Amino acid sequence: MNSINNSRSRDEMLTSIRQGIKDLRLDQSEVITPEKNIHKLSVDELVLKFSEMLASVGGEAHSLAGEGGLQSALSEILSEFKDKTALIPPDPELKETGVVQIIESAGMKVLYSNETPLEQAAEADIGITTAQAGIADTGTMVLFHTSKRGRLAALLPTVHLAILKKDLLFADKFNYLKETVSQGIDIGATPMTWVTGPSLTADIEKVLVRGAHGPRRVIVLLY
Amino acid sequence: MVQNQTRSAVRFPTRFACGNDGITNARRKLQIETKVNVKTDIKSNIRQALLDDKLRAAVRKATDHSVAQRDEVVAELPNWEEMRAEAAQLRDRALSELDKHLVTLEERAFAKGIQVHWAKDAEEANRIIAEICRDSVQTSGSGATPTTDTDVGATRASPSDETSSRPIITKSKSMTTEEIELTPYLEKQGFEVVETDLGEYIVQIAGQMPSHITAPALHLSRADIGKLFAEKLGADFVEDPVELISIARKALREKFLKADIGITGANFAIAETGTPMMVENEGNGRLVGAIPKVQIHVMGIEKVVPTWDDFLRYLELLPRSATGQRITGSVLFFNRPRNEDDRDGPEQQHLVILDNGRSKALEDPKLRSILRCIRCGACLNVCPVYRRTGGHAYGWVYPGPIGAVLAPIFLGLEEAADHPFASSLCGRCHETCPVKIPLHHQLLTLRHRVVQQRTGFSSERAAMNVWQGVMDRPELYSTLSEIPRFLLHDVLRGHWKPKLPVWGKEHDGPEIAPVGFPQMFSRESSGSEDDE
Ligand code: SF4
Repeated sequence: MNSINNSRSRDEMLTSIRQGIKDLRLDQSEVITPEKNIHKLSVDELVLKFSEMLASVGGEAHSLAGEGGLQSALSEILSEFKDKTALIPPDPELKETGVVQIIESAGMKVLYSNETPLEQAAEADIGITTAQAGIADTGTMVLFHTSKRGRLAALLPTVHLAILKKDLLFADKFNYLKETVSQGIDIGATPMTWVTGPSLTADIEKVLVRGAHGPRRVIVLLY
Repeated sequence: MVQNQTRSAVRFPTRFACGNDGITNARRKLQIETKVNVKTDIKSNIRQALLDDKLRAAVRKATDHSVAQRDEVVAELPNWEEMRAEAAQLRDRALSELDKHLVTLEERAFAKGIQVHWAKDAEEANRIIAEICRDSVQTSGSGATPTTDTDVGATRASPSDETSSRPIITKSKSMTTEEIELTPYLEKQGFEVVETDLGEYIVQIAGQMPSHITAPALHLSRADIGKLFAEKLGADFVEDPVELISIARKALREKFLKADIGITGANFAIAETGTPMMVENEGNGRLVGAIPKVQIHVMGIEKVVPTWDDFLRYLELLPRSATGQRITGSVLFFNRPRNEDDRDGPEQQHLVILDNGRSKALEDPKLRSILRCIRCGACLNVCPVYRRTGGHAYGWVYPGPIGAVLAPIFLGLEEAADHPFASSLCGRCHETCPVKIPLHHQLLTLRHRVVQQRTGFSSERAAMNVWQGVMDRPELYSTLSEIPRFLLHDVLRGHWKPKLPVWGKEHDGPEIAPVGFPQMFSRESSGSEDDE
């Protein structure tokens, strides 16, 4: 099954669809979809908006001054996790920013998501990753699942902590898309998840409960 | 032809036929084993549902809550109406070139290693999916083998079944797979299929069908769910939603980690990059997408959108309309299968594109706009019928106004002849619909067709024919309308008045006028002519 499959059904379906739309060819020029406004916000405004929106869905964002600020905030947060286990991807950025060293010096055990058996990884207390972009007007972080990052560290533990550079914040999804495309990034090339706050459910009597199958607590450190 | 294609969809096992078994708390049976042909008898279902005060209260509470939340986030956007209009146009534009977009989607997805399959109907889709599942467990040698025991499929096997060595399929919520009844099919083939969305999981272990597109267990109370978990999962009885959720998290974690195959729906598939995508909140979709070696996405043909720009516009509308959120907790883009350096994600990724009656709907100028639907469920929440009956009364997978339109299209006009009548035609569904589907007009169109199609004697039609004959002849009308007045006023002289039922118990009828309205009218108008 490695070529385009069941071509007979394919042909029949396409024929039937063409039959269905034959009187429907719209004059494409008649449909005007106004371009979305591109917001120009300062970094401070973006940070504020992102933090506010993330807080509104039960997440935490901290605005920090550069890598120094990041490191001290991280040590403080991780002091809660002494003797606990951190699950991290083999993301070089975590080394470069000193995050791995801080995790170790906080007295935590480090598990790498790419070499830890699933059952064990699922027992980790906190997952620590980078985020590749932030969308301010919804408090959303963009996670690209490249080989060095994967999906599991941000997903299996009940706490997910992500670090995100402030200059990767965008006003809204339209800005994000536009910027990404103009930088020549193929947005369809790598698996991607947009995560907004802790996992949640309202499936029991519409009562909102944070912490379902994914993380219960989401912390984003902006630096 | 539509009917033929989907005939199998009408044969619901009783747990899908649901009526009251699914909804009347005191009488709720959790396991119903026999498969029976059930007409989707919406009339008697509704009668039953209306007697169930507890159900009505639960549905009312949940839908009120959803409507309030939706209204709140919609009010934040001053240009909501423009956005709806724009989205409706964009959907129509996409549908008008549906063939082209599907081919682009196929090419781009295939180029990234996603295998694309085309299924004309439910049967073909199920067959394709089962084949993928069988192949994958054979080649991966996961140890678990499908046991083709026909009894297995007769009930939804309890996901807590510890002794099971069947291959595990984790599923995230997908109405399309409910539509094709994929789960019972795969269970019959010897797979253990686990719904992982909490609401879906609850209805699965209860042996019921979802009662709402986006909130499948909306009809159950926390106590119901507590009892269910105690009975099925051996947990202690608790009512607190937080505790209930942690029970489910624990039970499902195990399945997530062991799953061989993951199945998801697709809210959209973006043609320009060959990207199937979905939204979810619980993190279950992320786990289904991360762990199993094989990933299957099932989508209706109408879910393809040409560009990311289009997609983002729908993403503004969908979570707001569906759950009153600005965005869902996760938005997943299944861009490609695992490559050799990856340590998670599926090794094999399949996209199944399903017709199942959709292209026939496309051909129908009066009904085709139903394919704009993005399955947000907002029309259910505002529908005066749904709000009183809940979803099970509709007797099939899609309830509410959207379901009442889709039922005759997918099941055939004869099979679902009563569905278009389950509406007050108030138009609130249309008002709330983020893609402006004229649901109330479509229901009216379908009613018209149902009546036209009826053969044999119908007293309603006979009465209407007589009525029409009289209305067409003004003379006859005024002569006939004079008879009751003459009898009541001139002959009985007010000694007997007709009693109106119900209303008449509390009210007196009006005095009968000495002169009838037609006469009065012609006198008046000739009088005014005289004046001039
Ligand atoms: S018909 Fe409209 S309101 Fe109803 S589910 Fe579909 S998109 Fe939502």
